[in-house]
Amino acid sequence: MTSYGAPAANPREAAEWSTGRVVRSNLRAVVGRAYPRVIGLTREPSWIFFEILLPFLAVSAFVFVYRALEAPEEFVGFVVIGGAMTAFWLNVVWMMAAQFYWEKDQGNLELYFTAPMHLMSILAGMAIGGLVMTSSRALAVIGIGSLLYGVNYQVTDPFLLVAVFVLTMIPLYGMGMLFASLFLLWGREAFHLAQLLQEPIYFLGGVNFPLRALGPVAGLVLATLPLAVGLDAMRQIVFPGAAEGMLPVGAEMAILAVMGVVFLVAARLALRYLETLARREGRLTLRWQ
Amino acid sequence: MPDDLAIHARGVTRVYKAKPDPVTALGGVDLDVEAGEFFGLLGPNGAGKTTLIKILTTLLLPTSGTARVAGFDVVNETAKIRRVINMVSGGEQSGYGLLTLREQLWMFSQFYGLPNRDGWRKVDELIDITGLGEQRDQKVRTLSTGQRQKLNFARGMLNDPWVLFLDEPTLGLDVAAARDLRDHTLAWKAAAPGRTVLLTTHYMVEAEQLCDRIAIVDRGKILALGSPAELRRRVQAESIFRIELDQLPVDGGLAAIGDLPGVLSAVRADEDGDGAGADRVALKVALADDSALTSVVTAVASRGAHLVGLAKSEPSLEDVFVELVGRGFGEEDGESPS
Amino acid sequence: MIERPLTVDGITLRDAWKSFRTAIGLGWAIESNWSDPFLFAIYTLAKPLAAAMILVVMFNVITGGQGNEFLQFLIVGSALWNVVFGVMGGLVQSILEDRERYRMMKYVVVTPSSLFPFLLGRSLARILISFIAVFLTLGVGVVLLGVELRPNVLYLVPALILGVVAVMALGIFMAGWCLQLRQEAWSYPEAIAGALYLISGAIFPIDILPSFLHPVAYAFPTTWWLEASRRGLLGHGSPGAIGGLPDGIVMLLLVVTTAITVPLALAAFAWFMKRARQAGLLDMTTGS
Repeated sequence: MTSYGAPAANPREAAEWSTGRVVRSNLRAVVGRAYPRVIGLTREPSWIFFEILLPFLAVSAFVFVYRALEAPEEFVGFVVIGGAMTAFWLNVVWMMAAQFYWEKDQGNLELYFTAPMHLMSILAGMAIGGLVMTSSRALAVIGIGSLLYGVNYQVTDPFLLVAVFVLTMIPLYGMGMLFASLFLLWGREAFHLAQLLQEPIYFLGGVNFPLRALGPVAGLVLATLPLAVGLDAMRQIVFPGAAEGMLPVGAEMAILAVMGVVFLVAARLALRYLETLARREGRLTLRWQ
Repeated sequence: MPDDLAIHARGVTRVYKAKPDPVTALGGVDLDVEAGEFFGLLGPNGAGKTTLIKILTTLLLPTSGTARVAGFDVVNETAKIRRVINMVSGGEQSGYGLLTLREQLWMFSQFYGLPNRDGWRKVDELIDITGLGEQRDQKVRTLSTGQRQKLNFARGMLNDPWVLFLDEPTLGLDVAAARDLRDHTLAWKAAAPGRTVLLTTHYMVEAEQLCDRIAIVDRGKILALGSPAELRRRVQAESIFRIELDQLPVDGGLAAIGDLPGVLSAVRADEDGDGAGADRVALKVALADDSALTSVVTAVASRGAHLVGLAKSEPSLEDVFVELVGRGFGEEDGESPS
Repeated sequence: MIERPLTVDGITLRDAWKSFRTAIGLGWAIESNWSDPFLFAIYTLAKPLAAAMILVVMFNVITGGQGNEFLQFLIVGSALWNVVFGVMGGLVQSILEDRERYRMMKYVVVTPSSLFPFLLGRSLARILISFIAVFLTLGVGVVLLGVELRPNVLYLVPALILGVVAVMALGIFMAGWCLQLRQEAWSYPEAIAGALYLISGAIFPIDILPSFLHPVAYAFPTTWWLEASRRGLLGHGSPGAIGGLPDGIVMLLLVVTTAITVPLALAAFAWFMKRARQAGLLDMTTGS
């Protein structure tokens, strides 16, 4: 039988954490929050069917549209790559942006806010925890798509592809954190906003067609939507010659890098500001808000 | 000094925007809780207890006024406060159903920055202390209400908080589970000096049993503040005892008892319709303070009567509340007590 | 002699009707609880229009805008598919919300009424909203994209009604299935609807599918519903083999496949409910 132990000498001492301790604590929070996501996959395996097989079938529908239109084969490849990337977008929207909505429902949101870790750590943990499922889905779409539809990937530089992918993920997840902060402001409406961020983003992001097809709108999209920029760059690397990118890959990588910084900083500021606003208006604790 | 206090609040007000009219949940609360104190907020539903706790635990901003927890401001120093507090609410269903009890606690240990191994060790310790050993590998969604609340309580201990906020922690629990939780709370507090507990409850027994001081709250205001004994003395300054004897004392009887030093009055309880039965006599004796009881018992014995029963009659905290507000805990204005 | 009320499975039809009617009000109150109607309008408009525009751009990129008949095929299929998303999503969302968010499902289950009429009524508002999306998408198609509608009301109305019944049956099946799963199941109806997208001739002729999938496609009522609705709206059938069938045969096949799907779905739902009671899933809260 053990005792309850004793804390530090006094609360002021206990409250003063070094920068190193703050960083370590937040990293542990990331791991902690990722844990239920990862362990949940092993305890309810239905996700393999619903999160991999079925989305693959939805992607296939667009493949067949191009086949019906007798499109050049590289368009099938565009759809497959786009379908793989939507997995990450959905992870951002539903497993990050709208997650506080679920947490509030379950009564966990209050517990997060009274704990010392930063909210971005919680969001990062959710995102990383969801990445297992997301990556499985993306790889399944790419792999099965290649096998079934004969997509011929001609990756000119795999390291460049990985770099573009990573550079795309950073602002993508930064956007997710930014949207999560909007939830704190908009409560239930943020849930509907998350639903709104599917088809319109697939359209603006050129998920199923080259971004060029959007004409003048494409330029605006390039400046704001990391999914579109990343897809455009990845298609140029995977289908060189066939994919007419908006800008050279290097330029698009630079845009993604800038977006990454902008979105992460914006997310941090927004989370802080909107937490204060939510505390002022009592939105953290009102369950039906 | 406010910084030395565990909790310091001045003029704390909270107004919620609501239709048709704004709702004032707290109307200027002043409160000082010393470090090491077990402090209770007692009041009916809607009194503002939970609103105050939410402000002190940094979930809510006050509309006006200031509050400090462990010397840190609740508005501007939230990060520091969150490192030294924890909160346990009653009647909640938080948690991830798919995780085991042990995993759920470990996850929260990571949120408080405990190193991985320390986290697991602490979790296992708390599971043993709270008597949840048999449920450690059970999924959270399969736990009973009492077990879930013990889990919440264990979560509240993970970071060894300096100030622990308990918001109706025994709500919905059975008698045994509630008693267990109260015992754990006292044991935890006693384990280290300086640990402070702020408890909100509408269970008077809980408040009386646990709290060093209690604030009676209603409609967003503190109506009275003091130890349970001090609050009861507001309603009834004297100590009243019911004494059951086998017969009336001879040699002066009740008058003799009434003349003893420290005895304010001595009457037959039968006169209040509260008789003891055919073979005994019940007396209601009012004393200036408890110390006069010895002389009463001695006098009774010396006058040929034998003591059969002795009980102290004290006003409850609800009696205090009624005295202050004019209604009981469950009544709205205008309703007569049932 | 005691007159016994008409019952199904021990539940009176009157109770079921009351439950259904009350649930309609509840569903509408929940769906209409918008603090910003502007956002609601955006949500109702943008999602279905974007879905249609994706197909339009795909079409234009390849054909340069030539081939109006295929474009009409795409627009009508995309418009009608909002009903599938709306119905399936609405039914599954209702069950998961009531179990996990509002935690009211157990209280509904213990009433004399069954969960089934409650679910149907609860999701009706979402279904009606999905029809708004249908009209909007068709409207944009007509005004901006040159879609020519030649509605045959006598053919279209029964086709739509049967189709909605069939989709509701599929939705009820999904709702019962998702009851066995954890909270993330809210996204599964969209996944199922997306998979049905593939085999129902929604956005490409069924002939394009590998031949082994043709029987699967023809077995689903959604396939015949889309075909019948296209004929009712456009005055002609889809490209491919299915377009050559007479109108009467298409309607008959819609009736038959719906008549098979509905009782199967109801039986499955009853089984799922029984399993949920056995496993204690009716008041389960999950989430990660």
